[in-house]
Amino acid sequence: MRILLAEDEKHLNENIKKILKKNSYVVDSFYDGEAALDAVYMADYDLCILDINMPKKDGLEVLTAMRADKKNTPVLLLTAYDSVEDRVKGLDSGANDYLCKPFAFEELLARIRALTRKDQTAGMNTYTFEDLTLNKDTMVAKRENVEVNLSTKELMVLELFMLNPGVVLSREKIENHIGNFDYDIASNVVDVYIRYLRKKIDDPFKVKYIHTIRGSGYVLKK
Amino acid sequence: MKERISIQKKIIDLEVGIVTLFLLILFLSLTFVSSLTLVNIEKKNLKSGVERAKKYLSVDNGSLIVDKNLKGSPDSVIVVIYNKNGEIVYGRMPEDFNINLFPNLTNDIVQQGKEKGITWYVYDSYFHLDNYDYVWVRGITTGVLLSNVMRFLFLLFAISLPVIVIVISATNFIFLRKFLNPIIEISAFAKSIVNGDDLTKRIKITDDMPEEGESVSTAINEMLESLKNSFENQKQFSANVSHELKTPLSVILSESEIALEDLKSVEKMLDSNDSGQGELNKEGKEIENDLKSSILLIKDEAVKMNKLISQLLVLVKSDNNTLVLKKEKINVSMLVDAICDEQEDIAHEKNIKINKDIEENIYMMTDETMLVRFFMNLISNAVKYGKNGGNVFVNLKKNGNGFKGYIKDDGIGMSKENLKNIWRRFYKVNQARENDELSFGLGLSFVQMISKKLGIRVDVESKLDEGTIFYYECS
Repeated sequence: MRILLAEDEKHLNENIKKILKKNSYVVDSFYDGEAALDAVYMADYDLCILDINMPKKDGLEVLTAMRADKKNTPVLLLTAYDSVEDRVKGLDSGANDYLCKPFAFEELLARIRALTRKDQTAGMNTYTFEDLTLNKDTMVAKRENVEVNLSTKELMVLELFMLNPGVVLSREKIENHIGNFDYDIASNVVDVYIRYLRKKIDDPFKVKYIHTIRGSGYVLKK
Repeated sequence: MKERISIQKKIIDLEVGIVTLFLLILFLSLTFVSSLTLVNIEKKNLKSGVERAKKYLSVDNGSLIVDKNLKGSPDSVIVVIYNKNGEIVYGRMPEDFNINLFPNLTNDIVQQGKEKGITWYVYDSYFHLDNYDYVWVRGITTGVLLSNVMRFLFLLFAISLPVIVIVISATNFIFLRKFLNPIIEISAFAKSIVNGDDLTKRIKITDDMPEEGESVSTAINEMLESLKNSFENQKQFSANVSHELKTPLSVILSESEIALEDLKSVEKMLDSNDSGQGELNKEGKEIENDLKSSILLIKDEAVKMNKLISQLLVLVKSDNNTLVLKKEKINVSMLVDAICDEQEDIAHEKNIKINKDIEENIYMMTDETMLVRFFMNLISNAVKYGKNGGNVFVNLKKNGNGFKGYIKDDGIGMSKENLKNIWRRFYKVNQARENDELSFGLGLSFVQMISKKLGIRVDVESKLDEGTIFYYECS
């Protein structure tokens, strides 16, 4: 799996590269947008990780140029800005995901796995777990074919669970997934969302799907 | 607040006032002039009536004969004839006529008297009738003409005034509305910009816009421009702070993670190298452990600092109004209930009982993240400052389209001095006690900020050693 990394902060660039290599990815790293854009045409990448704030060409410009040229390589944007608008702007420009700095490497690796896996399931827009479904496009969740009314944040938590069925998710991971573009929230807020989610998708039914793993986090399983 | 009066109403009021005043002056002067001339006409008429009456008098065999036609005289003048001793020999006083008003017969003078709203004019003529004696001919008339004219004038005025006022108001209303329409449209447009949060919109200046409309529009557009610029600057500031602080933090975090990874390799090396140099290895492990806890501490503090920066940025954005709320339909009852459940574990450790009194199915259009934080901070505070074995009461009830209730604890409470300061940022009632926790003293600042943003009224009462109660109300 070959990954393009463009990040102008020297240390961060090196550290990400190191971790990715350790996880057996092939990494080409660049320190500005122009070099990264040139490289996109030189090799076939499975994923591009672009920092937004870069010299010469910023991440959004690289992304826009790529999409204009019908380069559909998945793009993960990195940014130190934390406003919702920036996130929306990034996703509107054609980014596949968005990660706010600072992030834990575990989270970065999880996103990379999800993005490269998405490729195989391209065209599939509904996650399914037993009688629970979540449509990615319409963001409508259903259990036993009955729509469950969920807020944006709850849908994001559910999406994370549906992406990782049977995987124990730590509070930090969930927090990273839902919280870091707004503002980092105290970890117990995650518990509130989980409880809230449970009340809606588990409480009315006999079989419970969301389980607490004491000391580790939560898991979606039958 | 004093009710505002529209320009349109002011202009109409002014015009109606002016016209009314004008009509009033017209009426008064007309009345004055006409009364002067009419009195003269009345007097003349009276005199000529008396003179004519004289012609109806004749003498036959020494006695006075009055022609019958005198009675049917078309004049409104009533004629009474006295002999020279002042005794009536012909005619009767009209009804309502009070003779005491005119006690004396006076030759060739028109007398005037008023009683019960009727003006009487009396003219006496003393003359010698041929073959007879001196007689008095008295003519009496009321100011009929004058009062009729006056009545007519008054009627005219009473009818025309409201008609004119209505006509002026209606035409003014229609035309002023038309003239003022651009201004009304401008204000509606300005309002839509404020409500829609889109500061890039501008009022279009059209050719048919009046001069005032153009100047108002230009002023508003300029204001919007500077507002937009300062808004952009504020946003840019938050973005810069975020970027400049978070980039080094992400380096610190990534370095600590890499260092921890490296330490793992070192650990492995030390473990595999267990045979042989035992002392050295032990020392190496100790150093490795020290390094590990140092790096973990660096990492934790970096995470903590990141949270602080994020929280401060939210407060800064709220201060400069660049915070964007995401409103959706939220089940508030369920949300509060979930927060109580979440706090149950911590409460249990202190033997605190959380008593819920939550009305079900309270829905509201609001920002969920903000609302979670609002209740989370209040309820976790109640648990945090509750006493061992105490109670926390969480009350939530429907309030029209909103909700209201209170969060109450019977814990340590606060002195009046502390109560004053609780909303201040970074304020901690007990500095030493809270320093070990992941608390910056921003909890209640958030509660206050969110209450402002979401329109929740919050009141607090507290007594030292008795507990604290936070009331909230949102409609």
